Amino acid sequence: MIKKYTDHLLLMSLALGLWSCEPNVDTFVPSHGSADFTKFIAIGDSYTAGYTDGALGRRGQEESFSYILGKQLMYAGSESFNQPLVKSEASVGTTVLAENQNNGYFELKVVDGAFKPVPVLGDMGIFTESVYSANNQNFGVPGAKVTHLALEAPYPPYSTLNPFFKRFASTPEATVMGDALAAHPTFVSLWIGNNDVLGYALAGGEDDEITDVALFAGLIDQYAGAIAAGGAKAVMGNIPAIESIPYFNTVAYNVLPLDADKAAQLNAGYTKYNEGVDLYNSQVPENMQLPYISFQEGANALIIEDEDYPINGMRQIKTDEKLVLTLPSDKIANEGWGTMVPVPAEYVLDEEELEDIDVATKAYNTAIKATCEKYGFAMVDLNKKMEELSTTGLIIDGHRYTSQFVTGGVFSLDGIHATGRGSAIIANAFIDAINAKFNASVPRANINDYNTVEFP
Amino acid sequence: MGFQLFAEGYQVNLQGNRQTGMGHTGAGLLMGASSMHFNPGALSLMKSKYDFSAGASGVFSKNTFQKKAPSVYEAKSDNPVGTPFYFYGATKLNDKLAMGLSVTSPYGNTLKWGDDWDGKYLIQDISLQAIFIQPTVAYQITDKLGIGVGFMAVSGSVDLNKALPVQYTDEQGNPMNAGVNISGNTWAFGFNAGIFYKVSDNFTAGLSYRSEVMVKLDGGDADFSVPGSLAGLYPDTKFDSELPLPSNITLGLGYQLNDKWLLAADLQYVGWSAYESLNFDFEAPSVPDSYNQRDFENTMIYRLGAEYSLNEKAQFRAGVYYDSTPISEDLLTPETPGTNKIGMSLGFGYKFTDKLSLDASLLYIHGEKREDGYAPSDFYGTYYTNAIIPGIGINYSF
Repeated sequence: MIKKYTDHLLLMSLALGLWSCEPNVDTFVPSHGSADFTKFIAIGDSYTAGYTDGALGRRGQEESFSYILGKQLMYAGSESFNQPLVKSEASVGTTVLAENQNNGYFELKVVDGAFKPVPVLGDMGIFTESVYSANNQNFGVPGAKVTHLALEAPYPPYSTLNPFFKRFASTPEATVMGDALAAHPTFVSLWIGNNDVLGYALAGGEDDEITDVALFAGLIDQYAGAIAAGGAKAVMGNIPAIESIPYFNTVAYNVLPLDADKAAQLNAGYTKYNEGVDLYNSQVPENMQLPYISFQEGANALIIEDEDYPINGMRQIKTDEKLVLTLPSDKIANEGWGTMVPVPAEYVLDEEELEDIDVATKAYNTAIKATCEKYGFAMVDLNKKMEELSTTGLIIDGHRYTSQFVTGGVFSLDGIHATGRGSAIIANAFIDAINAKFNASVPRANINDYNTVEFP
Repeated sequence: MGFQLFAEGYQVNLQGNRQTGMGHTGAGLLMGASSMHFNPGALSLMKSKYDFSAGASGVFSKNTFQKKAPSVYEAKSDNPVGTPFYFYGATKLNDKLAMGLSVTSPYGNTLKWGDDWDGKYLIQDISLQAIFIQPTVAYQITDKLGIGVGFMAVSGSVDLNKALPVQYTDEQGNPMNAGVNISGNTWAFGFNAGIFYKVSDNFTAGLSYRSEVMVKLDGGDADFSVPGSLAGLYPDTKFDSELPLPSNITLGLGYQLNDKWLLAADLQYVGWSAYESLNFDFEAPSVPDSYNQRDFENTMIYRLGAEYSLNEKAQFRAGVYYDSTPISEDLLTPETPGTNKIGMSLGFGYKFTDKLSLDASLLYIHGEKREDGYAPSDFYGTYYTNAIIPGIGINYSF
């Protein structure tokens, strides 16, 4: 009797068991919308190339925003994303450490009880690698400006000026745009223009120059026109304000704290200077009056070199002026930089320089926006994204990311380029812009799958 | 041992296989010793001198998470089989007075998403459990009316892992993610009470209350796995935290339609609003305290059940219930991925002798698909949940 009932129960159990094995899910279906991702080509600078932690190496190339974007586009019709990968296991950057010896990746170390990025030795052989392939899809060149992408006579060929391009240029005379268009893209990402202000900014406004705004606008239009003429659609990134980048945001203007004795001692040393200020102020109208140099107990604005300044070519830095990340902290601590010796101008972006950079960046972004509208391209507002990171931060999948140096998770140890995770955040911004513009459903990358700063 | 959510939140309603077969109704039924959980007032009307009941269930639960579109990411939990159990022993001391002891596991949650899944910074795995030890007395005021009260001593424990967004390489050269393990156990106390009334020969009603138990964990262990350079900031330390096990008010009705059919209905009101936040207050000053908004809402569970007596020996049972989720929009975490649930149960009872009987039950729980997430961590997607729960128990009375 009981057997009969248990048999029934067993049958019912089995039926229920099979039915309930896995919940039924509605699957996400990617689509390309009105774009055609069959052959995706990325054109740009170090961000596109995968430069990270101060150098180019395979690790960064395999986590560049362009590579992540390329992988995600494969869900929506793209066939491949081939890169001019570094053959060496090592990396190489542009900082010269010794004769014929550049840096490699920065690694985070604890030095004197504080975190400090320290470069490994780079592999100079990477500069002489020849990795040209007709199948290449990543035309990101570290250091490239708008003016470099189609550099023509009377300038020397770009491959002779930039060894990162020489690695994968089709011929010594090739141009970046020429090679990229020869790959017959159906879809292009073009993020160029960062270096057109960065080169100047990184040098503290003492070297390089800001690309002329009209020239920039003309070239951007020319490149976009050439892409569109080939039948391709594109997505373009705009240029983040340098204020949102840790390189310009990490060393505070008042980085050195002083005790009362030291402050008094320094003030005594600037009596002569301040007499000079008095004399000057007595000869100029009220709106041109200059401040004293003065120190108090606590944090103090550093003294900087300012060539054009009427009093000794030096003054205290203003609160809204920037000191760059590479300002040697040991010189401040041990050699009186900023107190007895003015900080050299190459480490300072003063008000005027910042204003020039800001005006140029805004004009570039106006040009990029207008170009995208003209050709029906998508535009990624990376300026806004970076601004969010540097103010409120971005909460993504369980963590709040910021543009804080070392700990923020987005910027790598060079303070300019992105970590793998930062690249994934950028790639997702591109994907969002593409989906919105072309009515596509390209899946976003999982940012938690990518690397961030490695701690010792 | 561990439980996955099969009632909403982290409550586990599997405290008797006869009741489970009938949609877990029982506050308005005379159920012998197991009334200590369902309605201690009904215990006073138990028929035999001694009554023992014991049983367990196996919880086979599945969760699938699909990340918010556009995304192709999907994760499936790998939950261990949960084994909630119950034991009841009661005796009638005289015509009026009954007493007993129950040991049950009415709250718990075991969920394992994996170490490297996409929500790892919210939760990797969690195991919550609470064992209730409850001495109970019941008094029969008239032959129609009984009251009862129980004292609940609760042994609560927690063990959870989550990843921290810091990467490093261990001494063997393996890439590592930082993380923290939180664990601890403690005792907490509460009570339950109930009143039971025989309205007529075939109509019964009961009202039962189980108090909230605030499980306060002082001095739990927080063990951090971090790179050497951060070990000073994140030392292994102690923490204080608390978690409410919510109150329940249940109104139950029973109706003996005829010799063959017993019908039951319960309305269960669960005081989930007690769960406002999950906070960890770490002893080491360098470890930032953690505040996590929960703001659960009170819920209602609607239960219907029936029992059909085929003959003197065998009964078939069936039931259905609807359990609404206490978790508000934008506060849905993968640690407790709640959703409105429909439970469907079947049961079977067999009396071997006048003294010995067996109850088997089978419960299928279907969670409504829920597209939601946790705003404070910006983690969104669609959660799918279901569970199948076979159970078996024996009863011995004399």
